[in-house]
Amino acid sequence: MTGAVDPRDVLPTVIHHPLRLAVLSSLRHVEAADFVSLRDAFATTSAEMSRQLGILESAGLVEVLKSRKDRQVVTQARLSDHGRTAFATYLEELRRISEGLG
Amino acid sequence: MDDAAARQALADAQSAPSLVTRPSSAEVLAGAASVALVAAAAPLAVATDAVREIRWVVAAAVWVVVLAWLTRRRPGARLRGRVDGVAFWACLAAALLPVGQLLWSPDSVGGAAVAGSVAALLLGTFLGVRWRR
Repeated sequence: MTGAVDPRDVLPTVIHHPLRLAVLSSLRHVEAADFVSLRDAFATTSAEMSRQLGILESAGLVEVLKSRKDRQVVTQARLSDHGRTAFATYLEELRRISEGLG
Repeated sequence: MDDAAARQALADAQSAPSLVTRPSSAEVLAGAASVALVAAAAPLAVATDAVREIRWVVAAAVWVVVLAWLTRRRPGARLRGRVDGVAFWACLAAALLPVGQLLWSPDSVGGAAVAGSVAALLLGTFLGVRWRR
């Protein structure tokens, strides 16, 4: 018996969801994005985007920041440091699996 | 997750939409003005032949730091990378070089002009990389 871990078992399941995977992929290239840009870029509803960001925030992958501008609440999301590392590891594991190394 | 699902997930990740946005006209104007300011601050300060004019060199360097911070704060700003990081620190160093010159050999405007030009060039590089889509 070896101590090798199957990469399939270490992949965080919270990232498997297609929308959450895409949101993390897009956030990887920017410092932060505002909520409206995210919602429009993924052609989804505010409620759904809010729900998915909430799940990512609960997992510690994303930070959601709220501020006030012209008496309106502006919401921004950014990858947390942990999220950035975890997502890079996730992509690396995906590559390993797709290349048959896993 | 099987191989096909992993490949599909990777493809989905690579085709995710870009959230990088263009800088506003105000940001571009502020950037262009800053390049001019950094290029001019050191030679002008040295030309006045007064040590107290160091404040203008320091003010230009502080403004570079503020500008760099502002370019990161905008939603949709590109993630800071190695090239713009190096350009920023090199720009700051070049912008502050004339401080030593003002303190110890305030007669040479040429050195300050070269340092100012190098700092302005590096600031332009920094902004160009930050604003690239």
